[in-house]
Amino acid sequence: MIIKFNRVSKSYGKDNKALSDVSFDVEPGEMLFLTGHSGAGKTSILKLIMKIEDMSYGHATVNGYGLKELKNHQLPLYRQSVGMIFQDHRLLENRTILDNVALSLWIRGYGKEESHKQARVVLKQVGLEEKTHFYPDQLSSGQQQRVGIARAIVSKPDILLADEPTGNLDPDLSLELMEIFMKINATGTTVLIASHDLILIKRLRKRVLVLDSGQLIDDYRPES
Amino acid sequence: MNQITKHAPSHILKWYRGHIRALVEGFKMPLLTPYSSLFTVITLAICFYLPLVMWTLWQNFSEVEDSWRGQGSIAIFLKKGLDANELTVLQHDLLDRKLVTAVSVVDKDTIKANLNDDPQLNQVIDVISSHELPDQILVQPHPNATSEQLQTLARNLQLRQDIDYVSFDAEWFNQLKSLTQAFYYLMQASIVVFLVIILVFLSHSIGSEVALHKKEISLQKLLGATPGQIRRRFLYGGMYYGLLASLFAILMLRVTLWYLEKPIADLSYSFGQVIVLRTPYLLELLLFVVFATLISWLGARVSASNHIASL
Repeated sequence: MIIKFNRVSKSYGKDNKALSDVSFDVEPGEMLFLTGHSGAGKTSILKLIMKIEDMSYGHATVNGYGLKELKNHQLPLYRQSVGMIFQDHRLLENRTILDNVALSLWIRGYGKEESHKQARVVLKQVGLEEKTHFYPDQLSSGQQQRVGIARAIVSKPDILLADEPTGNLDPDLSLELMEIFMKINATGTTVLIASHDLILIKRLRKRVLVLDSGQLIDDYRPES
Repeated sequence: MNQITKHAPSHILKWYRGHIRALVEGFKMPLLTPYSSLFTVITLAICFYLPLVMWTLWQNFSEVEDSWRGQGSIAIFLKKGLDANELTVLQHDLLDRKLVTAVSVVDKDTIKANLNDDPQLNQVIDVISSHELPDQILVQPHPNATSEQLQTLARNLQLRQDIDYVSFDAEWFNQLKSLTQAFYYLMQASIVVFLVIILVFLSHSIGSEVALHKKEISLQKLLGATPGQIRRRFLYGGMYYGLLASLFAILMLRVTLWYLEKPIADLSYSFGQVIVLRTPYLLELLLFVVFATLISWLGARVSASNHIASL
């Protein structure tokens, strides 16, 4: 298992339970969706996996790391194995698209030339090879989201997390993005997408974890 | 874990590239906010300048003290009617003492000639001329002789029958010594105070820089950057501040010494001495620049670590 959640709970204060006894497993190379209404706990699961927040109870292992046992000095290396795409893109406005994507590689110690070369390859994959020297505010929301995807996949992580990646996009663009995710998944990367877009999820016929008020109420696996 | 290329960078290469990037980004840091950076550099320069100027003055006083220690002499005024044989015996007796390096006899005519040459004393020479002046022996003390030892020697010589009066004015020397010591303590205190000010001020400046880059730092953390990688650019930024501030402090020191040159020369001339203030040697200035840069690096490190951890 590349991701294993065992009775994981997350509370904010005494009365606010974001997750309650959530258990699920994910096989390496799998692509699945987390869905549910706003506040169902989708983003909380992603934040726990990224170790942005700590779980309150339970046990979880991701890519061989026990999240509770993970030490501060291990965190950077762990995070390098997990790519994340944010709903708000989180691009740096004062850097070009190329530099935004190459940032992941600079952190891993690659030189400027190698980083730019790899970033160009990935930007081509997401259809932005003509925009490498643009700045984020010169791109549309959909294009910015693609830059976010390019930045997350350029370092070829084992697991790719996406938090509402199609949140602000029209159906056609959303489908385009999902096709990109499927291509990434086809290379062996485990992809976990939090989305409330049920129509899109149904079209893709992938495994779906359904959350409601912090509880996992369904683990739907489509028949192949 | 998936591999981006066949040749993942080694730890050394990663470390080297990280530092080169941080070096460039740290250099750009003051340029991105030129006015606040200038304010930071000037404030740091003043904090470095004050201990530096005190250290320089202390060094100068200390060197003057050292040079005057060897130059001080005891003047022995002989009893009237002393014959040549008695004078020779006295000279030999003085030379046998460990505290004495040399003795020289100055006859009354030479003393009169010296007084005539002195612009302040030549007006009273006529009054002195009406009284007969005694012969004099000038004793050159050993360079390592302390003021206390020389005072004891002067008191013992005063008891001799062949000596009329022994003159050894140690007061000026003690005053200079006290002044030098006071400067030394003042310099030490000022170094501690200004170091604290530098650390507090740098903490504030680097804290502001970290806050400016909050979004980028949060993103770097999520992308797997280590605290060291994130911190590095701020450390180099702090070092640049320190380097520029130390160079600015040296410039201010040179201007100060140039400004003080004439008043100090006039003051020392009035005491019959010639003192020329010297600027620190090149090696001393280099050490100062290295010290200032390291202190700024240290301040930036403490500040950046705390601020980044709190994000």
